Amino acid sequence: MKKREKIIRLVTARLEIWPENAKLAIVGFGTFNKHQLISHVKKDDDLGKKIIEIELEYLKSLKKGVFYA
Amino acid sequence: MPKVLLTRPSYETVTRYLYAFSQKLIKFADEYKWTVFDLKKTAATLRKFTALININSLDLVLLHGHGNYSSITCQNEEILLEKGKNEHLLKDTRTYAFSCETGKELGPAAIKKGAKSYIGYDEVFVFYQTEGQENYPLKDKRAGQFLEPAFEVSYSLLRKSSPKTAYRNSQKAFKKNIDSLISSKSKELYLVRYLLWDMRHQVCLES
Repeated sequence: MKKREKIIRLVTARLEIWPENAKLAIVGFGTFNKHQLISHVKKDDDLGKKIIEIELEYLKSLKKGVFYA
Repeated sequence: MPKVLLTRPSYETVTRYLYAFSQKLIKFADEYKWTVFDLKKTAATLRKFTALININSLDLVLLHGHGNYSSITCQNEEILLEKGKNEHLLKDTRTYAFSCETGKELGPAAIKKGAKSYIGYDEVFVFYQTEGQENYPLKDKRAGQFLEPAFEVSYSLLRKSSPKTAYRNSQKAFKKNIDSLISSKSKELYLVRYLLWDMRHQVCLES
């Protein structure tokens, strides 16, 4: 499996845990529930790429121990 | 009395949330003895904004709406300010742009043209909503976790704090919400990644 595919699967799995009634508003893009976002992530379109970027930045922060500083 | 101008468009879900959460700013500004120019809903137009900013010497500008790296919009996506076109309108003002991305190019361009300071975001601003509460934004606690720390910039500036202090107060408010989520057994822990994103991409530019 390619690295990008692995990342998409990781982000998709993390989005799955959201509550059904939560929606993400992205100023400039609109509002999306988890199923819509998962679809964008799988397509790897502009919105999907942004969600992946946010998720990866967060995971890197965890690795750097940002919450324990 | 110092003068503050607000643009508060409201025409779809995101701007309706910003509009609702910015409502308290008007009364707050009155309490702190500001002369308030409130361009709300259909009054949030480029024509009215330009007319007001040309006639009055404004101290503070609080913008709400959609944006990208080089521009910010008002009602119905009309472009209000655009890099290379009219960013000079912010000359001698302190500005908080509650929108996406304008901290990347529009903000620095405004500073170059004489704006005293510009607080904004150099990436997309994201927040959570709760389905079914779109008509009652102020009751949406998930949205409040994001919007209240972000609006701390506006409250601090209206209290006449310096831009740096306003920025720091907002950062502290984001951190407080993040700490509160990670130190509890909340099921809303997934919010943290997006709060951290907004906090990190808030920028304070000064001349």
